[in-house]
Amino acid sequence: MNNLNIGIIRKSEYVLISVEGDLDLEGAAELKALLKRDFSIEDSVPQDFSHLVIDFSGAGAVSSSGIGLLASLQRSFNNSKKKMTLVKIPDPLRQSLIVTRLIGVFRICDDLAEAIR
Amino acid sequence: MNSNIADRKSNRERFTVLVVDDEEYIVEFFCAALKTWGYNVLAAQNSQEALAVLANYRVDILIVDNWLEEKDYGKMVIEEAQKLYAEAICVLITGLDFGDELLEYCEKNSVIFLQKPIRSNELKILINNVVEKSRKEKEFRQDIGVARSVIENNFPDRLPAYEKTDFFAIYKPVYDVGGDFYDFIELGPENCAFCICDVQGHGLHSALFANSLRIYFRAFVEMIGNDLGVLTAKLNRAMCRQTRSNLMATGFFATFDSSNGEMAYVNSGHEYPIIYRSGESRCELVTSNDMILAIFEEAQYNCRKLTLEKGDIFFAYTDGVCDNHNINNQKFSLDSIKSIIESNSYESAEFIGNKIFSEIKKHIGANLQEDDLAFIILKMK
Repeated sequence: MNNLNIGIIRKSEYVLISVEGDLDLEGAAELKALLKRDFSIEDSVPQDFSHLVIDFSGAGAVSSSGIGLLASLQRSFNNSKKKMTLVKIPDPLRQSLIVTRLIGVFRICDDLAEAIR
Repeated sequence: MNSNIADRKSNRERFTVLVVDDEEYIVEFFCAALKTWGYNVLAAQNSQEALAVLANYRVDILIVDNWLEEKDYGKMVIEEAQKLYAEAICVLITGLDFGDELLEYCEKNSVIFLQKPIRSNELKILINNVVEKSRKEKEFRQDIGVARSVIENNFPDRLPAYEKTDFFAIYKPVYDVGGDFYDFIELGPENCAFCICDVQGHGLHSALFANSLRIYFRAFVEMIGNDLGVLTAKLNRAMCRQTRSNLMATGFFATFDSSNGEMAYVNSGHEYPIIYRSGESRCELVTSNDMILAIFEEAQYNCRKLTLEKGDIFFAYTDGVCDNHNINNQKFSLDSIKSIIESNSYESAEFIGNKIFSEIKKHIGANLQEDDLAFIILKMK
């Protein structure tokens, strides 16, 4: 069992996923399964899906598995020409994204209002 | 179809069942049924007889009544069987009266619980199922063993031995196999290509991915040689195309000339290596890097250069070196590694490597290792 809680808010313009707890090996698998089950997001993103916003304000540790999931999601969104935004990422995650050079790949915002603009 | 039947029969024939019950008619019932189904059968009518049989014969399946000699000695027989034969399947039989603690005991000790009265078909299905499960688990363990040996055999069996450079490398996975690896490919009498990589996750899935990465690296070193930017871009494309598993990897890829200390390298999202500069008696980080591997096919990689002078120490590692926590949930800090290197800079690469590893082990203490770890050291003599 992992300690990840995932909140979902569906709006017409975006889907907000709130991540609370650790996005580790198990957490990443859980989030991946949820996105596939509820939104058919996997290697591609459905045409009618507009914008995925992932809010990390309640997130704990994000392991390499979590980063791997985010990177592969971004790849799917890029390939499908859809928008994905990360909000309020914790400092350790920011550092990891800098080291892995993924920082420039993601759209990253400091607050939700900016993210959904 | 026929071969399956033959296999199943031969599997049954290989299994030996010990039946222990102090009621003679029950022992006879079990023995007759099990023999008919093709098992080798041993029998005992009290706990002492059962212990004697266990001491003298290998037992694959133990079927034992919990209540022997008016006491719950069945559990004692099970404990002895599990001690002697770790893979033995144990079935505990009981009458109608039993408490929750017996069920808890069975759950905790991986013991199958069976309540009297027992029907012949029920026993047959149960035994056949556990035998089949056991056979599959054994096959799986053998497959893991084969995978492990294939992966281990791909680790270099020796490190380069150059006049001016001292090498050390270590790899400790969490499970039998893992996603971290290093490799050294000797290109000439004083130069080599090497890498240290970390595939996301642990276990067989990561290990197989890591093995592919290593094979591509070796092949591309042969094909492309020193042009590490091109080599890493090709490596990245190959890994992107090879997998749909959403795994990613980081890596530090380099060529090194021991005669002059020149190192050409690409860092694809990997932990920043440490260099101890003997002239300044302090450590610095090699912070230039490029994109991680196996995510974006179009990623570009830049080959950079550095030079190691006499007495300099180069330390490259995977994140497991720092990411394993102690009992206070603290990581092993990069500063600790720098401090060990700085205070032992006059020692050999092997001494420094063993010192760092023993400090990591001390740090983890009673905790379980959480992440695969690997590191390499080059020291200019």
